[in-house]
Amino acid sequence: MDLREKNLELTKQSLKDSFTRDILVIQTIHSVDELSSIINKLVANMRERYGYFAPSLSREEDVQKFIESIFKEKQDDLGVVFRKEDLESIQELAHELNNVRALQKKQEIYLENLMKELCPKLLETAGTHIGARLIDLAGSLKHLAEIPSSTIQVLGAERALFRHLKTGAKAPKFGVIFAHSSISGAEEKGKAARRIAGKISIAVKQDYFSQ
Amino acid sequence: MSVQATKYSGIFEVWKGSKKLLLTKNLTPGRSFFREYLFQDNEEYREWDPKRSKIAAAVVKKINILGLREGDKVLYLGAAHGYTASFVSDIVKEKGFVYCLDFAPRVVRDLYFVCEERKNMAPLLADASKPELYKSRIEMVDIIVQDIAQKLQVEILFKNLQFLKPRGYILLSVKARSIDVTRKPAQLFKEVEEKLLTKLKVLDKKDLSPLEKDHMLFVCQGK
Repeated sequence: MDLREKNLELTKQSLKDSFTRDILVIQTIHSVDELSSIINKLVANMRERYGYFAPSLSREEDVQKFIESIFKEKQDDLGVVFRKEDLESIQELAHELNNVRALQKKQEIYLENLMKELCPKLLETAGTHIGARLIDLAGSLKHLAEIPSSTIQVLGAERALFRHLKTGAKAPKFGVIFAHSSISGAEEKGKAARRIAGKISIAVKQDYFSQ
Repeated sequence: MSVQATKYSGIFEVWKGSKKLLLTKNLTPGRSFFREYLFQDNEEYREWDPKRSKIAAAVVKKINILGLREGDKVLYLGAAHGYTASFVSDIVKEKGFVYCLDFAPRVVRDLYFVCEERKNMAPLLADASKPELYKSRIEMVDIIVQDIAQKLQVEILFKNLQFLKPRGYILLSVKARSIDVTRKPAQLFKEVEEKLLTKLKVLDKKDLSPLEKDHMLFVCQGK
């Protein structure tokens, strides 16, 4: 067999072998984020549109309540009269938006199940979103298990980190782990971040090396 | 305006409005792999964007010598999606061959499709710092092209010199940022050149700014 065909064949095989299931975690968290941004944009757009008919209802902060109010067709004092088809068009959009929100929930449940299988300890210490983001930033579960906890602490704060290395500005104290409830709620956030990063590091090492 | 040959073998140029385009003769007529512009002038040419390719950037910056000739066998370390590699394959034509190596599975997936259609390219999913693992899959080459963003770029090149024929050429693109972000690029380039001179002749070097930031392309020849 000539070298070209041999290489094509071998590459095909090693491409297949290179797949690991943590890639699905990374791709799913991307989908979840993308769905979030779609939902936010559509809600903002619908608030604008529905605001002409019912200004006070469109100021409702809870998204679920806002969407429900669209189906009640209650006109405001300040609102103008909408025709039937005007309302129906908004309701159609609201209906689809509800579907997208349900879809996002389903994706999140799938992500959680995936992480239960691949990295149960990480899921327990960091939660679905932070855990998946950490795997995403590290590139793989393997790499996340290999990097020190000080790196885990600032994953997601690369800009600040390199600014620190280059110009001597203050070092960042946390990256994506800031969203962790025991850091954002803590008095001394830097200390809390360091400790949580340490615990996450231990958890990932347990997950990866016990497989 | 018609297509003009440049002093570099297999690379052409043409004026389009006020812009000068770099071109290579398309080895797969009718087929464009990276949505690049196809230029017709009796034969078909592909536009080579210097902003996406460091070798093209060096051509725009008028490097003295490239070393790429028709019929050359090439080892391309860090081929990624195969953009530059596909133009190298245009230059070396059917008689030449390009071994494209990269170690990130995701980009090799794209590279695979390019190699499948171009008869003078082959993909390798391997780590350039471990040549013993792909030794049996390649042959001796006339040129090594290396474009990898790794800290030990020069050491990796030295490990791969075993595949280079005597007096073969090397196109090494050095990214200062990946050697050390905190240090000045000029200083790093100087150190790289000193290291290269211990084993090779440095024929020319070109700073690729503003097309590529903090990059230097070295053209070397084996002793």
